[in-house]
Amino acid sequence: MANSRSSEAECQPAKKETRVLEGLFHLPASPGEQPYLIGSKCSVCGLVVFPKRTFCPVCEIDKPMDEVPLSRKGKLVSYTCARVPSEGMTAPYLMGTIDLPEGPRFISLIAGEQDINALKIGMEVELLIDKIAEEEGHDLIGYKFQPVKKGQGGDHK
Amino acid sequence: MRDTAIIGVGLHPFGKYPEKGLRDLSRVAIWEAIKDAGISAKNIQVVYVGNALGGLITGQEAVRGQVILEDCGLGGRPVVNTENACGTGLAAVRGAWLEVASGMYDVALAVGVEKMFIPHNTAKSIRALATCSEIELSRSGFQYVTYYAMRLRAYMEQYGATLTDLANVVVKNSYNGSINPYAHRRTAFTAEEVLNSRMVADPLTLYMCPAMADGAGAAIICSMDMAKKLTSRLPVKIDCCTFRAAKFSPHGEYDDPHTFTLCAQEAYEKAGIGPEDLDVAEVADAAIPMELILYERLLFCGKGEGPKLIRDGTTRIDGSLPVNTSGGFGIRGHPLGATGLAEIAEVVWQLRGEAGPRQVANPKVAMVHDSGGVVGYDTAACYVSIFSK
Repeated sequence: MANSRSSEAECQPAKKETRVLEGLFHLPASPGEQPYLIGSKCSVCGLVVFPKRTFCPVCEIDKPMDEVPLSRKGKLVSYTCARVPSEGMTAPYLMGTIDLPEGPRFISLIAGEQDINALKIGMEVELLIDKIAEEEGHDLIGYKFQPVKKGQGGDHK
Repeated sequence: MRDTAIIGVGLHPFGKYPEKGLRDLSRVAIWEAIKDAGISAKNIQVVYVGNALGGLITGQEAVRGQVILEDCGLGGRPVVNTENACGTGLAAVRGAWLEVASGMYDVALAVGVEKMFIPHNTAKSIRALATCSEIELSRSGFQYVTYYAMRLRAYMEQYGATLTDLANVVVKNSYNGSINPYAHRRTAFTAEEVLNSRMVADPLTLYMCPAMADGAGAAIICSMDMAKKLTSRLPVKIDCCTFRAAKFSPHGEYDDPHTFTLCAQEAYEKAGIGPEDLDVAEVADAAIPMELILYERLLFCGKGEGPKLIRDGTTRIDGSLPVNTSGGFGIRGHPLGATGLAEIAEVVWQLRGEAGPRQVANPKVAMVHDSGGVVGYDTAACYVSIFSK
């Protein structure tokens, strides 16, 4: 049985391949390590932005920003449920606007709750690295946020 | 800069035309505009053609303007291809306006065209539209209706706007579209019909969101001096055409003063007017209820007062500041490149007194606001123009 299953898998290798959205997040290199989003911090004014930028959009000077790991937890500013899919997606899927404590506000897919009624403006959400879409038959790996479950997720960053 | 005017406008009706290409849509609009101006095509010296998604949707890249003009019999002139997300049409108009206002040419043609509708493949159209953002976002399920849905949900929470307020913007605009022969949607909806149509991106229902529409528009822009020599048409003066991309702010779309406000303030200043002087306006309601927020950003009212303008009828055709008499993006239709030209056609018809059943009482000053795209969680391209007679 095990043999026949593995030969079946060899006939369909494409689905196993994954593609990653580059430069947006850090994938854990070892078990126990946590993923995080990669932002940029200005060494002059202290501004933190996500996704990362090369130069500070406030200072407008020729001094590259520094890459910084961002908090894994943030707050949900708003949310919706896409009932009609974009190409590569399966509807329905949830999307949210996220605020991180360092300052960035951005749009993310929301995982962990399929029921939109479980979402609330202001609730705490945490980062998850997961399959987010399909491109040309391959899984695309990216970031999502999910509601923090009571008693789980801990206090660690 | 010298005085310039629009002397002719033309549209191809907006809607689903799977059998027509960019050339087919454009040629109708271009020749309608030339006829409307009452000039010879030979008077046109320079052309700007706006199209944003033709490469993705039709496969035609790089020389769309030349391809369109060659088919129209109007080759042999300087042609500039422009794109700027949902602001693409105004990008073409602004370029043509600068050519004339600067004194370089006397007569310019601005064209905007887009094919959005793909039979049985709405997901592809949605993805094409989503590319008006950074690649990382468009690859991650982003779509514009979700963007506006989230913004409106936060607005409702902040200011107490209701679902009925959202629906009543559609009631107003769908009535306007029902009496506009160029509009994609020609049905006047009730608030119940709007709220009962299927959910697309909570809280936005189907009738609150633009359907995928094809279309084209054109305008003839001319120096005021030459206008008097070339045509007996009433020249509609272009008072200004302001434009900017959003400057970074931490909460982007949510921060004040918003890019639309900065652009509108600059436009009011350049035209020497205030919002109270406007008689009619076409604005970028890319999800129809976003009009509530646009009222505030364009300084038609104060913060949180958007719903009041819908509740008291201010922005109806018979109100004191009619907005989107054409039906707006969501009802007239929003084929990116063509949209700005349709907005301009509507205010030109209004200022000339040729808007038929949609005619506003004796308007003298009009605004066109066109914007779109998302970069850094804020607008990528915002245009505000003022026109007068």
